Amino acid sequence: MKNKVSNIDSMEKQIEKLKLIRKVETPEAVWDLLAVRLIKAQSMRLPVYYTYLAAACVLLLLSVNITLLLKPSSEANLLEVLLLNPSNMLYHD
Amino acid sequence: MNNFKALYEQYKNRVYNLALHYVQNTEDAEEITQDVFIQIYEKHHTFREESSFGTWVYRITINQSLNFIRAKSRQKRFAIFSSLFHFNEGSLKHDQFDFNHPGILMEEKESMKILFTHINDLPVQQRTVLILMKIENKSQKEVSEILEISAKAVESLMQRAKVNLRKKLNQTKENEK
Repeated sequence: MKNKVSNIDSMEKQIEKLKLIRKVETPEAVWDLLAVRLIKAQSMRLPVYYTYLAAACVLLLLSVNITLLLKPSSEANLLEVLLLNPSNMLYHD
Repeated sequence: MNNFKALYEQYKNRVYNLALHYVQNTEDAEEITQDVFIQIYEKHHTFREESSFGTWVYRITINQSLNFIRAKSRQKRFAIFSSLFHFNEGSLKHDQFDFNHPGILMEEKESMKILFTHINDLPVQQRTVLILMKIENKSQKEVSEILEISAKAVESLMQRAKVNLRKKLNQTKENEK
């Protein structure tokens, strides 16, 4: 029983010792290395944005193309005639 | 960048010291500190103001430290595995516990090294509660906020951590006999 109590005591003492651990200052080198990594992370982001922009442009072009292809031919022809020669509208009753 | 430097200055010691308590090694703690601030830089927009910014920083530091430890132990396992096939003794030396905590006094170093070996063996949550409460002097409420668990759960984890530590210390003593 005595042994058990002394074991608990020593364990508590050991844990209490943890409170004696001092706070230390962060070495200056950490910021220098971090700044380099941050600049790298920033520069890595730009190509990603450009890729997104290029992909968006391609999708836009494709969707315009698809819309034109799907348009009924007669409607497209009429539009073409009107656009090329707006005076045709005058004879339209 | 200037704003970020100010934020770094405010939280650097908190992050570095907490990382040190997990890895007990200056080089590793420096690497974790960098990883934490990279995470803060990249994920600051995901910060929900449900808790304080300091609590959020603590959470990131704990996660980064644990991820770092997991990655390092994977590397060690791989080094041991490859040494079995290549008979390379040099890689086994990497497995030794590199204890270098500048916050510990020289005369306490040996006993603290043993204590930390046992703390490092504790389950993750028990280890975290012990570090936050006994080294970082956080209250039960603060720990419950950081870990997003109830105060009762924190208390129970602390009790279990003590029981496990006691067992481990007793084992060490018996082995010494």
